[in-house]
Amino acid sequence: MTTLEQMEHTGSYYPAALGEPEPMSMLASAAYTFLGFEGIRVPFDLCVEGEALGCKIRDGGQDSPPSVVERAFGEKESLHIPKNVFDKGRFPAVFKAVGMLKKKFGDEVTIYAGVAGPLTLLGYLYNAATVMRWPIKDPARMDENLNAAVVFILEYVRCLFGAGCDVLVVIDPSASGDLLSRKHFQRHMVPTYQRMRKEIGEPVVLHICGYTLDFLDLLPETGFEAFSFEGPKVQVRTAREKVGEKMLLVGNIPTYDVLLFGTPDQVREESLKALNEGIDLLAPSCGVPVQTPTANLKAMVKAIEEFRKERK
Amino acid sequence: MDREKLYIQMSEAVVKFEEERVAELAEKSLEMGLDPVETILHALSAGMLIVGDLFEKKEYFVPEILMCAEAMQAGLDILQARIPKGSTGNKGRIVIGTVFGDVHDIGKNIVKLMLEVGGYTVYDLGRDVPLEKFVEEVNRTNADIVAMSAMLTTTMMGMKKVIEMIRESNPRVRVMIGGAPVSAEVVKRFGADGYAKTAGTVLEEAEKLFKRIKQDA
Repeated sequence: MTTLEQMEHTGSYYPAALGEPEPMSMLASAAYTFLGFEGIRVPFDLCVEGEALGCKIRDGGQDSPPSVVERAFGEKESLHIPKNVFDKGRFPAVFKAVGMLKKKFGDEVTIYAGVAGPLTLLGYLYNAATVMRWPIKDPARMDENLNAAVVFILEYVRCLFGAGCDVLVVIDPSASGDLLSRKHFQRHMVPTYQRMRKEIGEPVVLHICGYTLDFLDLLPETGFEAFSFEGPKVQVRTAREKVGEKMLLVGNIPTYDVLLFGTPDQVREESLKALNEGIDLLAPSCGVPVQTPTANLKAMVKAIEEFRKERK
Repeated sequence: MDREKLYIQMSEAVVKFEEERVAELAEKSLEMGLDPVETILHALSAGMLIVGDLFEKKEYFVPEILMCAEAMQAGLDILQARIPKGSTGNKGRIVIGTVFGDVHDIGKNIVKLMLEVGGYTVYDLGRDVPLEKFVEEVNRTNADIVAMSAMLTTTMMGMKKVIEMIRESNPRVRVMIGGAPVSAEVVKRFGADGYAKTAGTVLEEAEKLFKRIKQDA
């Protein structure tokens, strides 16, 4: 949820805030200290893991997060995890930032850490176009690489919880229903998430943006506590119907149509609608563009306060 | 084998993403003395239309489309080599690319292929394209349309900047945008001229824009 206005407010800008612990934690804390949200999350991009595993990344300047420009592995190569990988790239900075945030704000708000989900990570490491073929052409390779990705992610997650993170967010947009059929989601992703669940004792939010209607009903099988999704592609009511009561629902305020282009009134309206339909944690649908106005993000917080008052 | 039968077999091979089979049939069509332009239209293009239908019906997903597009590309490479230069691609010129910061080019590549098969000349800037490059390429190629794609909500704003630059420098040029996070509202707010929700509607949208360009001229 990082924006230019939060960067100005904290004096912590991209790209320093993407790779150095102090500016990273400063900028992240603005979600609480400046906007009023009850959670703080680091890091801000999904390339941290790929970078340490050998992807070449390019910094996106002040307006955007970095992107992977060169893959770590060729199509036929197996997923290789370098020795002492968690000392590499931006990992040490992320762990430090988590620790600093926990120390300073851990008693007041939830400290979240976001990690790339297994399929999304494979997309960075091998190229999404390559990975996408595996379920159809080589399901065994799909499983083998998902397993290898999970081994790595679990190790990373242990470090994050060790550093002080409260809740993990597994961000796996590559597993969206535009790219994966229900059949393949069921065959490959459900067991993969279950394996992660078994090893992670702490709470997990699974985030899959885009179209997920085809497999919403399978999500409780993952065992994760919460699902975060994108509106208006997936409505809160529909999600609740299909997911049931086993999972908390997170989301789903549209990033462009409402948060960027809308007025605070529109944000309030959309937020109250989501809350009344049963969203448990109000959040943006997906990564917000850095130009998103502060007033609109604050309108989400105000809507939550309003909703709670009415409920009392 | 007669012509019709070959067209049907070839379009079926596209649908079943049998790359080698498509190439084989493309060679065969040339041996039979069939006009490659006709074969592109009645076999490859027809195959991709069926693929588009399967996608709409949720029987096919992006991976299948990607593989069908590759199969089609295999046929296209063989057929295009036999077409005299200048006799295709004369429907119009289109510059295409994925904007800066965004390396997601699967959708863009499929759209590019659809446009090529549809008879347009496409100048592909690739992915992660610096914004000013779009304007430079329009000037270099004298293109009529710029087609941009973004997959990330964090990079999408780049398209707005390109549209502003294009309006400033080449007001006659029309802009179409696409990508998973693009909505009708985004199109309106960015000031784009056209938008294809899926690759299946790209040609339709391009035709519309070219009609408007002709009317304006």
